[in-house]
Amino acid sequence: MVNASDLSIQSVTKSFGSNVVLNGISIDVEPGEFMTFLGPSGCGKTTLLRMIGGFGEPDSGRIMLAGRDITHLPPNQRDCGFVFQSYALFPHMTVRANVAYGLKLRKLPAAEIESRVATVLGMVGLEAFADRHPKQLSGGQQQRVAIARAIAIRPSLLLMDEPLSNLDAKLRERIRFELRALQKQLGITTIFVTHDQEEAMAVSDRIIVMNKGNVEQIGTPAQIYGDPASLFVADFVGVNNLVPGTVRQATGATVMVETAAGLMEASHHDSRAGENVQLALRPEMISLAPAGQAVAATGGQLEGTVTMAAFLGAATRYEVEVQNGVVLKVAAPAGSRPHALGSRVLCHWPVESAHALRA
Amino acid sequence: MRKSGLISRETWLAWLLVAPFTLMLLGLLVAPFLSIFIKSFSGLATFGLPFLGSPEALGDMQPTATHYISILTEPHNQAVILNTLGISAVVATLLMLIGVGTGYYMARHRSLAPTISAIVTYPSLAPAVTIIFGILWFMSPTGPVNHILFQQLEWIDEPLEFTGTFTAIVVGDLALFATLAVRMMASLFEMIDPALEDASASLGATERETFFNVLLPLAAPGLAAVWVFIFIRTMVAYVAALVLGGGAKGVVVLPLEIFTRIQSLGISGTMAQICAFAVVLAAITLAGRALYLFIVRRAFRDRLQGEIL
Amino acid sequence: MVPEKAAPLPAPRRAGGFLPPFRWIFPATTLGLILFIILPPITLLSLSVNDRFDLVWGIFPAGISFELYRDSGPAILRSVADSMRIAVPTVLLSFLVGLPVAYALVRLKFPGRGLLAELVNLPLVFPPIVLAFGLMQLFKQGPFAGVSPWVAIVLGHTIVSLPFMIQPIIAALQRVDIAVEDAARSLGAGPLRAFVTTVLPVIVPSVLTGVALVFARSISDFEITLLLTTPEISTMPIAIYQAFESGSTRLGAAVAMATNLFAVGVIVILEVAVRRVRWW
Repeated sequence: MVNASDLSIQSVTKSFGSNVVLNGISIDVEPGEFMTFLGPSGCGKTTLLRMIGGFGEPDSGRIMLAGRDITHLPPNQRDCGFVFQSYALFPHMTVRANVAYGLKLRKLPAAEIESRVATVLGMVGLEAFADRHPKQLSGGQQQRVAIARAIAIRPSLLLMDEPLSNLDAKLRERIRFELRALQKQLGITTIFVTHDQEEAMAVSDRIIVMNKGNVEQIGTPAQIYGDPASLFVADFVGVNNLVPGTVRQATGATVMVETAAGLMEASHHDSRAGENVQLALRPEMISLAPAGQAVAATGGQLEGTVTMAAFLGAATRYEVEVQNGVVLKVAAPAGSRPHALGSRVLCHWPVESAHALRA
Repeated sequence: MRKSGLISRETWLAWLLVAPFTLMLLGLLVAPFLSIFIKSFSGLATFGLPFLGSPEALGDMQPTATHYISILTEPHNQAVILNTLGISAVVATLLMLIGVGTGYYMARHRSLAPTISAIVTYPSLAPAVTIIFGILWFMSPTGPVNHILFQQLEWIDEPLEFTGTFTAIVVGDLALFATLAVRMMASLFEMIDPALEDASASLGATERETFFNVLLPLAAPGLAAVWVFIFIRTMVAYVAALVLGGGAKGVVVLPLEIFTRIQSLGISGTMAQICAFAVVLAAITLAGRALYLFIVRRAFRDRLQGEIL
Repeated sequence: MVPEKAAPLPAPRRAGGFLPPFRWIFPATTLGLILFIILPPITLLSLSVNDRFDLVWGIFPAGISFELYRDSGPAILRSVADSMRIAVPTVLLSFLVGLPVAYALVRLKFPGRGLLAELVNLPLVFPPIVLAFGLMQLFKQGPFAGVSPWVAIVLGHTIVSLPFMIQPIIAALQRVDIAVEDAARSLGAGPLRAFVTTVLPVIVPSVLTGVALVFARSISDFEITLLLTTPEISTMPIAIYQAFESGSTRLGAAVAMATNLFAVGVIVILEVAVRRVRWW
């Protein structure tokens, strides 16, 4: 629908007083991509998003949109559609007038404005509400108007600042998929900011995990989840077991880590012998077998006692205490063999699922 | 709540608590005004007010509307009314514009706002006379304005005639009420979400377009309320006209007219005539207040809940 | 969907190349207003410390001298004393009359409550000159003709200042938890004691705000004082007015500056007290 543009953020830095909010961030977003900035509050994701939109300038670095340097352009010359967390709908205008606002400024002919408004309202399912005022709409409806208003101008870039955080959980889930479908249909390069990692993984082509002004990892949801680049990512996204230890031996593709629970094998992350690491291991990657049963020799293995078992329907959560007080969280899918509280089990996992991450 | 007869204890208590206030209000404001109102229709030329020391009884009054008619028809009186309305309208409009400029600036620069507010509040702390005299001497032939324009730059041939002009009173009233207007405007603009301006910019609007398309329409009811408020205030303003208006031969406004007539009571004019003027002034003011409340209640319906204005 | 060309961006628009950016209107207006407010008083200040009549550029003192202040010292002190003699009783009376009204409006339900809320503002809305006129008749020829002018002026000031005392107290009472008073009652305190010990201390800052507002209103008052006064009373505004009208401008300036200093000083002290008293 638009000429999909690529966005290039080059070494952007920003400080407020002595507080470094963005620390030399460099990101390349592909045309038509749905990219999410994910991170806890204060990590700089909203500051970065607003900077791309023209609200605030970096202390150093550049922002390039479709090859054009937009770093110092005011917001009204950047051709970015912005969806605000509070929606920021103009209260004194109808839905139709809100959506037409950007088009009127561009002095498009009236017929074209009318047809575009109708199309875009149709895309978000609000044609019937065109003549209502924002205060007559529900939160979810207001949010859709905000999106419609932003895409009506056919921007090169769509920026969304936690647009779903004011909605209740069920609505959130429904709208996030509609949003994704809409974006795919339009093909606009989109940047989405959220602190909800489940949401990020559900809708994004790629995710940028940020922490305290730094980029921790850029990757697809699968990469972020399954192959975390740093301890922060492993801990922030999803539930993870984190076992502290020291690298004993780093050879080839795997490392041997000395932990309180004994020697554990994990996949390599440029670790060196003697380094302090945390071993990250997803609960669902650990399989349980009754103690004593023989399992494949490859992969990690630890014996322990079941200290907690909670049947949650789709999965059963266990906590298994292995040596020296180390407790592993295990998530077993429905239908797998149940293990009673207090029983001895063997935890085993493929080596690639365990990551030794610098502490 | 025990009811003793028809009136509950709570009601007794409440009425008891407000009794001193009500008595003061009735005795010092309502009763005299009632008396003034009645006297304004009297054809008698006596000095006293009914109930308040006038020798004749109520029945002796000769009801007439001549005083009111005289207000509307005599050229001097007409001039007074027009001056008053004109000055009030001009001051209200100017302060509305100034208020928008400064109020918006204060609302979007919160760190500077307290300092600006403190400077602009100064007029309301000092007695009005001081401010007015300050302006008088600022604009006088020996003051800086004339000094620069007349003596140094020689742009004009003689010192600016300041006192006794319409402009002078306007300037005086501006100084007196600027504080009020700016504070009201600042809180008005603080109520408008800054994200709306960002949204407008993101859709391609220049600052001017954002101001006229988004800010003004949203602020409009508040602007109207401030205009009416300042209008009423200026209508009853007295000190500026007294000092800067040039006295009885200069520009006269309604409050000043009343004052002058009071002073010349033994010599010319009747008590009843003064009462008529007083009633006219009070009527316009109260009507203005009603209009103000109407605008505010309608415009901010959702935000105010049981707040006592 | 068929990819279409995006609508062209609005071209960067400037209304006339030589006009300054729109956003400059706001700081410019602010600066203009600030200058307008502070320059005239500076003229007065310079007049009052000038050692001769002419000012440099009309605004700066040619030489500093406090002779005027020394000469007008007694007059200044006298007018300050007169103003205080009126303002202090006004503040007290406003407090005693206004506090119960605020309490009744916030805490109690009774017929006439809405009307009362409107009446509280009546003195603010009413033209002061008409009020002064009525008071003049009341105290000069009416039933209260024998009353001392001091009393008359205090009553007049009080009636116009009551809204300034009542409004802040209403706002403060609305923020206080009702339950506090009930708790005191349940522990055995009588209604007055409960109020004085639990609610009053908490609303002190707002009471102080009211005091400051009433005080400012009273010492600035001109119309009412002018119509009710006798030659022996010379409050600060009256003194300033008379000084200027009688031609002794520089003296008037001195009295005016002294008055300003005094007024601003007292109010600043009260404001500081308001901030300090917020100990919770």
